[in-house]
Amino acid sequence: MRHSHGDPLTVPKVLSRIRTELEITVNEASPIERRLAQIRSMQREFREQPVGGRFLAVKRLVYWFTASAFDRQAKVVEALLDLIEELAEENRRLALQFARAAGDDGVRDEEEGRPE
Amino acid sequence: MTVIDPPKSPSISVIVNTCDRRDSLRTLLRSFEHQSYPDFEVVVVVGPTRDDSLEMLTTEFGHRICVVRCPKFNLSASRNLGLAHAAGEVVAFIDDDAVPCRNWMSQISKPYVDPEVAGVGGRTHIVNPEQGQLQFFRGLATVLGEQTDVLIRDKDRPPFAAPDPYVFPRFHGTNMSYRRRVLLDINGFDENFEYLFDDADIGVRLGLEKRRLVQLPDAVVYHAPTSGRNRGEDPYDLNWYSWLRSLVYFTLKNGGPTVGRSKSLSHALRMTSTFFAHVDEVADSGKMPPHLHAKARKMLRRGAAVGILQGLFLKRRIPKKIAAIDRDFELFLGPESERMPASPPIPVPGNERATPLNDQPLRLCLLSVGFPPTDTHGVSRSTHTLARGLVELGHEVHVITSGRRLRVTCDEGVFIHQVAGEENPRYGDLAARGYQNLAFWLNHSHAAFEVVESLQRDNAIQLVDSPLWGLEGLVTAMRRSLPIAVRVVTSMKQIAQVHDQISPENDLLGELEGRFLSMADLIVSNSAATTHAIEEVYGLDPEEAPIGIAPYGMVPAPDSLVSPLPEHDVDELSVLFVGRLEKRKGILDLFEAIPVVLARHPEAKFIVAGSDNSRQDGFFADHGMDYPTFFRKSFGHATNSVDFTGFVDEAHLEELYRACDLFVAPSLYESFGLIFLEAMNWARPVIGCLAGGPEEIVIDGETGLLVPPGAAEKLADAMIELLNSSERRREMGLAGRRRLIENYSHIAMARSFEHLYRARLVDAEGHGVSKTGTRTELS
Repeated sequence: MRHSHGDPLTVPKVLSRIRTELEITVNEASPIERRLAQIRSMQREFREQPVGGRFLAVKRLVYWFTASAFDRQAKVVEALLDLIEELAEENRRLALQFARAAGDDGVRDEEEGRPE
Repeated sequence: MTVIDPPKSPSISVIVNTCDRRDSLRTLLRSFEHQSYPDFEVVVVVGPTRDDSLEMLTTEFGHRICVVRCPKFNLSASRNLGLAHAAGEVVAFIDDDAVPCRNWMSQISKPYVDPEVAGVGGRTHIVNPEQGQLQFFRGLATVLGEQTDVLIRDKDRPPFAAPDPYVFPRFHGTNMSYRRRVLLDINGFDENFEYLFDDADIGVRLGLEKRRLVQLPDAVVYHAPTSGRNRGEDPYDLNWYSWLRSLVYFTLKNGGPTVGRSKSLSHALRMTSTFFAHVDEVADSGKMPPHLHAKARKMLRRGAAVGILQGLFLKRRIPKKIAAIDRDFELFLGPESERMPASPPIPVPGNERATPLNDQPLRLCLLSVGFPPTDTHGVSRSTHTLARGLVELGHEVHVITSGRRLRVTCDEGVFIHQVAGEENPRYGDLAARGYQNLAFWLNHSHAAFEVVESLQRDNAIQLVDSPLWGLEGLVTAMRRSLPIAVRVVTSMKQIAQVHDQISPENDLLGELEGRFLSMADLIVSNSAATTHAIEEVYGLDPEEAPIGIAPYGMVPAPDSLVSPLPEHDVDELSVLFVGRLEKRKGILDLFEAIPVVLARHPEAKFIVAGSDNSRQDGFFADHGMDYPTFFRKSFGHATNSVDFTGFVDEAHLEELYRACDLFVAPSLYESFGLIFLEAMNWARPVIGCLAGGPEEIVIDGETGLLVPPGAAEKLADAMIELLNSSERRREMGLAGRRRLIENYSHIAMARSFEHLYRARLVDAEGHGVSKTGTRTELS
């Protein structure tokens, strides 16, 4: 079997690579994802109860007149959230690629205790 | 300084609504014995049952449960009765054909620390072997009766006809809990939902009241849907009337006051036509027999009509006030609970023990990339046998294997978790660099680790057992959160050496095996020969390495199916070889011996059962042909007496064992030799080599004969010796069968493993930490 790309793998490199993947898995629910879920929840709450507090009837009337604008605004927010989620995923993918590359090239040799 | 008491965990009343399901109800109640959360009681509401559920409850569970009779066959009415009798702060509902994971109540109790939380639900898996699927995960319901049962990612939410403010989280009826006060405040369930939509209706009603419901990703319930009055044996023999009636009623009752009566009515009619289209489509595809199709259409017509009338003109049937019965909260768990055998959702026939064990049952996770019936290789079969034996001893056993998608099933009492490593190929770049095998194994090892983590959360598994082969447990071992046992079989390194398959990847895999072994808390070898070989190959110190021996085993065939060989001579003698056709299995020695035997016994027939491995072991590269072709070219005159079957499945293999007069497997080395046990199971004499496991399994001269490895002449002599005497063959076969039952049954195997696991777990607990924490750090 030919191993044409890059230096041959070594045990320390493989173990280092597994550790990288483990860190990614264990920390999978990233702060960005959690924040996105919170914002989506806030958005839903707003849609459920757009106005509140005092002078509720007046506010509801105003809201009723402007509801279509809020609808359009909600769609824009939804699209932005989807976009941010995709960007976050892309970012994670790139970080993963970077970590994998570092795992390959910059791994410390555990047995020798020095960088390879 | 003010001291604030930590929030108290709530007391839980588990409500089980049941009718005519005595056996699955018993299984569920037995599974409660192993809940990790102690502060719970059980209220069983028995409908107008026609079986002896009530007697069973009285005799087997007595005062430990609260039994309530419900005269109507109505799930919501039954739930309301349970609610009235519950004494806990939280009421949790689970179906009578399901069992919860060990930490179910422990997990659902946690969010209630927040006083704003009104309800908590978890995940549900259908575990019937034929139907296994994720049934419920973060579901949603709308006021128009639209429902999503499985929502993995927010953005996969389907477009609903109902506006966003009217989309609410909902729980699954078999895995839901609520604060009792909250349900009492809304007067419980609407009893017009006799069956179905009761759970969604509560979700929507609480949603409209802005109550907070928490959906947990875990808190798993294993659901094994059983036939009953609302569900026949056929998957499409359903109570279609209840389905559509409840849906239409739900839509009109919840949609009318929120999105308007005309919109909800037109939506209900649209869904009605969808139902008709669905059953027609299923019938057209042949999945629904014509008589069921006609029955379904009739039920749908009636359901739509009744649903519309009830939705438009009938008031909700919600009790004006549920009067809570004043009774004491009775803990379910008893002093013997922890020693009761584990209860899988689908009981193993003949294994419904109700008596406590001597020790607490263990909660174990076995790894095996392949598993019968789809895979019958040695590691897969030995894992299957071990799992079955452990279950029969009363332990809880989970097996993680590979599949096309994540699903959980329960077969013969064993939970089988299939993972698809390739769904998330983390190590794909290694494959691109030429390390395909390594990439495959690491992907699988990582996917298995993720399931191990969830099993640790849900089922508090205590130990993971992985084969050395394939490094399946390597990622789990590196995480160091559980003790890990490594089952040693013939290693990749040994195989590579025997087959002269020296390559950078194989070298690397061999070295990784060595590292994996060094991380093990327990190394389980199946024979002294394997132990010796592994010490030699990996340089393990026999004094230091935590090695134990547990011989493999086999489920003994029933006596009624075993036909011992005849005492008299027969016209035609059959010699069977089973194994891959490769050098290590001694196939070339057998080829050389066959003509010698035929010279003395021309009536003998040789069956060579197994797939050709010449391309993998280098034989084809050296000779330009596979093994059967080589035999035909080299020993043409013997060709008519030899039958190369190629790969044979389990059923066919069994027939071959039963039909043969002599079994032969002249492997140059076997770490154990399951094939000898298979032959002994059918009372057949065996011939093997003095190399590894066979030396321990076969008693030379008593259950078979042993010859030096690589000695074709000696092999031929041994075969001739046994073919000469029918009496000897019969005696040896019977002696082998006795030896198998006494020393190598699946129960004997499981007991050996249990002994080692317990020693390991006690050792780990004695040190206060898993031994994994005391190993040389890897990072």
